[in-house]
Amino acid sequence: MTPEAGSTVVRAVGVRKHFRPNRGIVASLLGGKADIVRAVEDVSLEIRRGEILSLVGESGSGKTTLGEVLTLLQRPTAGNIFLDGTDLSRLKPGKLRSHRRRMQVVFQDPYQSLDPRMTIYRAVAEPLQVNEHLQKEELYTRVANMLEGVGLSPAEAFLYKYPRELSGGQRQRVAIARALILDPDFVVADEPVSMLDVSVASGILNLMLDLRARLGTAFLFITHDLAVARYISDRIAIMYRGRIVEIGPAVVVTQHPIHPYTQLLLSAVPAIDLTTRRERVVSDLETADREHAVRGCSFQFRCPFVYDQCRGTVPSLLEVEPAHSAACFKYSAPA
Amino acid sequence: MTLDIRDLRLDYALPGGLSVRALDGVDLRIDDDEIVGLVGESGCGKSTLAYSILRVLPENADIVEGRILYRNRDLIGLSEGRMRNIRWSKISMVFQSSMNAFSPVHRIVDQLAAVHMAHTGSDKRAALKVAEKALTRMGIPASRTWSYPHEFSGGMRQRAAIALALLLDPEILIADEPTTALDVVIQDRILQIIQDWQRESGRSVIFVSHDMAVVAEICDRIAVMYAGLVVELADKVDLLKEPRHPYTQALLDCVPNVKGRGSRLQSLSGSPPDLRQRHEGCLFRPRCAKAFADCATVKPDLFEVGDRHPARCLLYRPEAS
Amino acid sequence: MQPRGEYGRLRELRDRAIAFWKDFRTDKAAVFGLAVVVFFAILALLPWLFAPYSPTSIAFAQLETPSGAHLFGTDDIGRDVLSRIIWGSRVSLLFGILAASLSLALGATLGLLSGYYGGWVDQILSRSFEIVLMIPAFFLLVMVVAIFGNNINFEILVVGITIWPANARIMRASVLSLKERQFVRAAVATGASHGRILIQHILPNAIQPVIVNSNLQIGQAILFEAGMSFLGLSDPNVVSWGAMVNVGAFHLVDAWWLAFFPGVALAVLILSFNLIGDGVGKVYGATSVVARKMETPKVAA
Repeated sequence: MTPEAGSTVVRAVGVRKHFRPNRGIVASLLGGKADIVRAVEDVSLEIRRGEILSLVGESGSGKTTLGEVLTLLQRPTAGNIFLDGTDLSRLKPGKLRSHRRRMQVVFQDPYQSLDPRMTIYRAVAEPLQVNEHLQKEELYTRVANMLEGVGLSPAEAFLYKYPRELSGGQRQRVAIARALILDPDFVVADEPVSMLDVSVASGILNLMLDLRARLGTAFLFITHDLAVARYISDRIAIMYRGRIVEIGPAVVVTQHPIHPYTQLLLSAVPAIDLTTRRERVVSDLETADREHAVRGCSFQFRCPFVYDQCRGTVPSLLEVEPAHSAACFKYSAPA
Repeated sequence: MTLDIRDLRLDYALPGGLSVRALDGVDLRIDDDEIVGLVGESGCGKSTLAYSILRVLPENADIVEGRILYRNRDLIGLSEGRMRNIRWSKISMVFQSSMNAFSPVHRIVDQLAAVHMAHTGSDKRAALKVAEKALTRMGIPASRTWSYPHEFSGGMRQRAAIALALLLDPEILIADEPTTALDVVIQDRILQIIQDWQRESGRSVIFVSHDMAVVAEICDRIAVMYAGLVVELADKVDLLKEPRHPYTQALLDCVPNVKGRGSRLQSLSGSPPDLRQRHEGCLFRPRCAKAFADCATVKPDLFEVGDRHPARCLLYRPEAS
Repeated sequence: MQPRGEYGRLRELRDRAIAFWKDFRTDKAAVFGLAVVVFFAILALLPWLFAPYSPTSIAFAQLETPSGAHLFGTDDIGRDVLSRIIWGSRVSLLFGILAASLSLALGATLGLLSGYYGGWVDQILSRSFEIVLMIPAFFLLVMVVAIFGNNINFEILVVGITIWPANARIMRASVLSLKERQFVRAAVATGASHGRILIQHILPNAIQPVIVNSNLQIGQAILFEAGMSFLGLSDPNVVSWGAMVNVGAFHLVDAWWLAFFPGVALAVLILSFNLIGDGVGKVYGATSVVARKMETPKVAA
């Protein structure tokens, strides 16, 4: 279900996020260079109104960090983040806070994302209490409606409960209710179903699809699971070592992947399918360990198609087919 | 037949005098030369079942009934000394967290060698040779075998853990969610390793996982578990083509496919039953789309449906004539 | 929709208090400790109701063994020991609770700021914790008495400002751990101010280990006071168990009751606070967010 080609709600331009690990007083005084962790490197991205974009990557790809930077839970080291035209990355903390209600987050761990000392009512009411000034009755009504809206019905049965009295799936629904109660333009969901059983996870995925249809909220869905990404998203972006290496419609990326890394990922995904045999792409795993700054394409050590160009320059994300881009010299050789 | 589990019932004792019936009459046979999958969601008892075989259960676990027959001996009643002879040399195990179980202050190859020496009484040089070979067979380059665990990535440590599990050439390997914490490319590699070993050696593997797709990839036969019972057991192809138990059917409909499925995912409402209490009738009934009157009072057995594809559901109860 | 009953903050407080008591009750030793403390508190609040005689009256025979008239005997100048024990509980309890409260307030606040803001604030504050820790409290107390005389208020102050770093460090560690928890970051995402996050989310969770420690610090402070008065450095007009033990030390052979009863009273009171601390720790331990993640099903799948 693709929304109309709507306007852009979030735009990231040239975003970088580097971490300098804390070294302590003595090491800092003695000087020397610390290793910089380049979690996100030169990412430019657009999320359209009402679309669900999946950010797919393995551990260390930077996908979680990118999600945090886009909602400004972390400040970018460089680059800009525009929310409906406003450059959020240049705002002071005070002004930023008033924009926060338009972008919310759903976290991965249903056991950790709710304050255990708060009732469900208070957890879902908190965003309203922080951002609006409502009468007690109206507050109650909006919270109860939201709980019903995420499938926790009857709401009265859940309002008085504490997180530890709910199952993982129910807690995630509460987290979603809390994220959506302010009717944000944009929600980042960071692996929201990874810790849930599959029969419960599917319900959450369907809930998110329904909410998107009803409220028109855009979602950035961060996951390592390509099957889930294919099911829920309109577009998929593949991340590797801090960069987006491929982006395009979900069906196209999973059926006709362009970038060698995407092809490798897809060949490794197990699927319940008795008809076709999986084509395994051979890859040298040993050098997949952590590496520091690399000249050229970060995938060069594992790529079956690598040639000289790849070792010298970093390929940019270029359109190879309509609406389908990849960062690979094989398809978009520079002049 | 290598392992025969019969009517296994197990309780976990909880503080306050309560107990949880984690296994309520599990029957399962593992033959030679096969990979059997144990698949189910959290709380179904699959890991408990795996731990029971090697008797590495927590203190509050209590086997109340049943037998685990290995080479005609019941492992449950076996003395600890005899059990130790079986552990690792005949039946070994790899866990989800095995990669973190290595001692951080010893080299990997030394740790494997130590296990070898403890079980076979070999000398250090011979043990080191065996250890090195086991590690290189897992694709770990010879130059890296002398590293410490923290110098390995998670995937390499898990491969070392598998090398450790296969070190004494066991007859049965139990793998409990060995790839759950790993990225998909590494997972694939490890599944290949396990499959290759099984094919070459002709031994048996019990593969426990919540991931239906992984189980479908690697296993020959699949046992589906729910609320402490095996609810369906079949060859992989039969199970996937024609799932019989309503839970299996629902479960398969809940799994997204990277190749697309064209229809909306199903989901199961409600939760698994509270195993601290005894329940009447079929434990899946509250969530079952096909339940009928008798399901509330009659506990279904594993009914054979002609071929080797039993299902624990009254839908397949032979009509008493 | 009509709200029914109490569903907000009040309900949380009520539920928490009930749940806490239910868990606490299961620890028999902790309940015993609480009973003892309550018992002494009652004695301290209404000593005239329980003490058979005035604690300062020297009208009685000296060094009398415990008997019907004087259950704990009399001391070397003819005062009734039992009455002095009852009146002495005031000083011990007051000293302990006040000093520990001061330590709690100071330590929790500084630890909260240090942990939450990090950076150079943390660096400076942490160094201050370490510096204050180096100060030997007891010798400082002796010096204070030497300079300012036997003023019990000063003594409470001195103890309070020397033992707070332990609380600060515990608080700081809790805050550091909580800062990164997802429910705190979710609150940040909704635009909550720093103040709200600190007071609503971080403080209630982070203070738990500090409260446990404070119970132990009450015992610690009581011991300080007893030690001071044992050395004869306390206000001679105040009835103190430590001073009684001081006198009793000279009569261990001929009048054992002079040292025995105050000694036992001190031991029992301090032990009781420790038992309460342990009990509270156990209750928090089972549900604490700081110590470990929230319970996931304990039974292997």
